[in-house]
Amino acid sequence: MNKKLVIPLMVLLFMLETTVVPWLIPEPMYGRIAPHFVFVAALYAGLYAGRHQALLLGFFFGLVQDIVFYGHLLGVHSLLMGVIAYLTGLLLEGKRIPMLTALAVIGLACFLYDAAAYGVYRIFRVTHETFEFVLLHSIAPSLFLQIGFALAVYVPARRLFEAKAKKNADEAE
Amino acid sequence: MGRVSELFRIFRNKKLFVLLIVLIVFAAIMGFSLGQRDKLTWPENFVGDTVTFVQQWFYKPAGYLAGLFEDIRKMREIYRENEELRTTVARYARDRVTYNRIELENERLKEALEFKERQKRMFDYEYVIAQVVAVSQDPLNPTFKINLGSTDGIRPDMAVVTTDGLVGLVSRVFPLYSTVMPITQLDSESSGARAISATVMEHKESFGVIEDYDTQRGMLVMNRIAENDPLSKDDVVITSGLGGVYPYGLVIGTVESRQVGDFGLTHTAYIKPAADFDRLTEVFVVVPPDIEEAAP
Repeated sequence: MNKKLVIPLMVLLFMLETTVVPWLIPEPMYGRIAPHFVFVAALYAGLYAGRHQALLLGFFFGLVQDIVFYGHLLGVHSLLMGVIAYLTGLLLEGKRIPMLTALAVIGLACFLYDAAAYGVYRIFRVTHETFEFVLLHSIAPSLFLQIGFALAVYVPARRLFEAKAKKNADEAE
Repeated sequence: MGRVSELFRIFRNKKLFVLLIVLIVFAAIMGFSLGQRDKLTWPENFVGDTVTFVQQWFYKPAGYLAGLFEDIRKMREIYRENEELRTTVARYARDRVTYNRIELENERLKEALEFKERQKRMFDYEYVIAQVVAVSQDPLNPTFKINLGSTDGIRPDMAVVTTDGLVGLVSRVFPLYSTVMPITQLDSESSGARAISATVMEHKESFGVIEDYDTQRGMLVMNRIAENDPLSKDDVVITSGLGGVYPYGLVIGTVESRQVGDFGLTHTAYIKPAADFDRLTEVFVVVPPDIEEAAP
């Protein structure tokens, strides 16, 4: 797999998550489960490629999401996706990470992302739901989807980003 | 003294410093973008329209495929629905005759009362059809995009309806596409609070203000109903057009229950929305006549 594939693949992922995935979510869960596929990809970049790349991917795709679905305010997704993907890279980059650890980290990061997004909306008084309600209503069910997706793409994502990191390292030498 | 140098040491850490600056910048951006904005900047327009242009190639076919499977599963239901629709059409044909007569008479009376041109056109709403091209999956910001924008004469705050009833308000307008905020986001405590002034079809004198959505019950909350208001269960709630934002006569939902409000002075009613907010494919934007003139 080569380096040039990362961005087109993530663009495709973004398109799927905003158009096709809503049709696949079962009726009672509609509006509750939020797919963060692009964010999961950015986290994989942080784990296996490097923190700067994760920051750029997270920020860029977050910004696209912010602008395209501009409803209440701009900047929530670009800030959170960038910062959380970067932090993941900062803490775990370059370490040998087995699959279960990777999934656990992704689950934790997704939870953090949703909770922080809720926090921002709460601060700007866009929502007045309690955190307990939002947690049970949408954050917890979405978490399963995110981890499921992370598991499904683990092998290709790792191959893609590790190849990229190796190539970068080779170039640096 | 020791503590101060400690503080400086933390700030000498470049990463933390940058993070702080980033947080401040983003807080400013969020605050700035929160309120009403009639025009967006060109980078926003460019990114928004380009991405949505691609999204529209995905949403429709996906919906079509999903619909195909759904249709097979719901064959029986569709049969029943067809029966129902047939009786509705029969009723419609009957009502049409009455409507034509009343419209002619109305026209004549307006003429007789010397209505001004502007008054006559006041309720001439134009229903512009729009396709939904993408859906946001953020549960706290559940906007969707339609394929009409400022070049088609769409402005912020126009009402968006389906054949069932009111769905939302146009939130932000890009040149070729716009985002729609569903009425499930109504919130009297939010900074950009909007409310729908409503009345019911059965009693013209009823009045209330819909300004909240109860996510846990899935119902709109209608406040400030007078104690002696004739509004009762199963009444059809429509917009009253008094607030100036929403046009007159759009169906919102049916009254589910009514009780004494928080302060005991007025009543509160729960309204079951008529429109389905999930999986929309086609909506109508209600364009009021001469919006420039109508705007205060």
